[in-house]
Amino acid sequence: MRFKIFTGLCAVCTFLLPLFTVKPNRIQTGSAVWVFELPPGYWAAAVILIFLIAFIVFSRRHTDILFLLFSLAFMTLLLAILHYLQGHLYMWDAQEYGRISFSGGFWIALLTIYLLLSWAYRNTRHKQLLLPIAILLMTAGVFLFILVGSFEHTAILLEYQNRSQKFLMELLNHINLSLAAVGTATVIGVPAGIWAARSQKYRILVFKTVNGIQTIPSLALFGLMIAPLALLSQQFPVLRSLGIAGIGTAPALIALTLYSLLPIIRNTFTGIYYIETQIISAAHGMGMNRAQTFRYIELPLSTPMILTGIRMSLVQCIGNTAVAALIGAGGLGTFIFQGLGQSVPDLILLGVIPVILLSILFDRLFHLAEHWATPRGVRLAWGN
Amino acid sequence: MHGVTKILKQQKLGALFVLVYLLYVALPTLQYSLLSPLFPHLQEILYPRASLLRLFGEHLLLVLLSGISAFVTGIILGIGVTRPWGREFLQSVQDLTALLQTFPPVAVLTLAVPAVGFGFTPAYLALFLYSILPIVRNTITGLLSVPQPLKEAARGMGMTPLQVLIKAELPQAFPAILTGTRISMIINIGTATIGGVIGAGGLGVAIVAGLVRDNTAFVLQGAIAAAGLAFLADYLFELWEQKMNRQE
Repeated sequence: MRFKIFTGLCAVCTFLLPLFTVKPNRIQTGSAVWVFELPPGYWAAAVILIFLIAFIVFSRRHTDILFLLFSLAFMTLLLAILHYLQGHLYMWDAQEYGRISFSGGFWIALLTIYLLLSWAYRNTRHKQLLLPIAILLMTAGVFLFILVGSFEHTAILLEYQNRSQKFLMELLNHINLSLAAVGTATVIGVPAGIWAARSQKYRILVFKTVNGIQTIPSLALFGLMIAPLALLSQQFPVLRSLGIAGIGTAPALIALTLYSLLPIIRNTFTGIYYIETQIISAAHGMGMNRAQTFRYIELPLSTPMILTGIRMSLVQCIGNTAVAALIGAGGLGTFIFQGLGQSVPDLILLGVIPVILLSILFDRLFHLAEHWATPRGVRLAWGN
Repeated sequence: MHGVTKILKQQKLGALFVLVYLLYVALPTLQYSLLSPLFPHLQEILYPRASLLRLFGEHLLLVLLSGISAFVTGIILGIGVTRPWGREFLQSVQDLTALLQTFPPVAVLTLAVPAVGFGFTPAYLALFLYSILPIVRNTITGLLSVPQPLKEAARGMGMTPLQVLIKAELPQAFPAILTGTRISMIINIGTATIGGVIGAGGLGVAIVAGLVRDNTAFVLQGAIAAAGLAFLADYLFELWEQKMNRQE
């Protein structure tokens, strides 16, 4: 009940705040677009939608389909308003260079849609079906509106069109850097984790070191990498010809790899170290030697845990790669810091939103991989 | 005062580190004599626009303000959703914090600029919001792991629900809350360093200025101070956790 009321309040707040901002050009500040400035059809639709949600809030029925429909209707209304703005920019003193940015109401609308969907998901009997359907319908809806041209004056899209080639390049660059760093960290970290699980002597040393690295602020670690690498490349011109210098990809890659070590080593260690001794004894009893025990028992049992570590590293690394743009490593951070430098909020968004989406995407992918890599017997024992 | 001298006796190495770090931050001559041999060809060794001590102060203020408000808000939120009247929100708060934690801290920090603008306020807001997440999660985990019989025994002794919370549940959950606070503080210090880019001041200012002007000495001057601050905070939390473990 309280949850539904909260969702309803969010829905109301969406329309109490300005939904969009219309700017005449890239530099000038814009004017806010409130829902009641729109033709009666739009705000009537908003009012009806809110009344419908209120109705559901106070009725005691748990209808998943209705909540799904509401979230879709909510999104459609937002997109319809956006489409209307495209054609009527002059009403907010903007002409052909006019651009539309998202405002407070829009972000609250996203929260409302999230809440409506999570409510539908919680009360549905078809959990496997609901989320894919919702995502499919929403993506289809957004694409439909893109095709019709509703996004033509959206500021973030304009920023993208100005540098679509560069965007693609930096996006790939970002993914490459993150994957390369986490890949290297996996190659180093998994053996190190296994080693830490086997040798009590070096365990503390390994963990103190990687914990210490993880504590250093990312920007500081990038900074600390620059000086030694710059000195090295000054001393040895060979290194410089290999592209190793104080600024650029080399220090970024080293720092990102160092950062990615902790979750991987820690999880590998936990995965191997906390396997019950009876299982190992049983394996030995069956006549397995140490290598076989490792290959058929320890490795399969700890793989999900190791994958969790790699996932945590990767999600963290995607964020830190954005910071690496400050030392000239490229990636999506380039747009973020350019946007900050030029005070163009939409350029910042062009960098930030893909970074967030990438994090969520890789997070989900690895969740799937973890589920898939868990041995069937273990999955049954955990009950999922 | 007695406690302090005791800690100093036991933790000689740690105390030495703290002392050296504070001296480094406070004394420009020390910074200069440390950095100038490394960069003989550079004209300027120290960031000229502000002293490191000032930047350190700004950094500390930002981190402490956002950290303390996140600590209070996070615990209240965590308590709220584990009470009978807030249980409905438990699942959503857990889902939402899990989702938001996949957002990179730098994304949250820079998103604050389109929302609020440049300066101290957006940095404070972003750090505050991001710091809440680990605290809420750990408060929830801590409170949910309090054994039911313990709560029932407390109720049976005639305690009111508020007394059960304060005298039985919170002390039990405190180690988990402390761990969450430690995680959030370390992230907070790291993210505040990037705050230099959005005009929030702090130690990142020297690093960014060094990067922009291609002066590695500025970068190093700030980076050492920022890394040291993170180690300092981590060390203090370590001491606190050790002290708590000993009391048990």
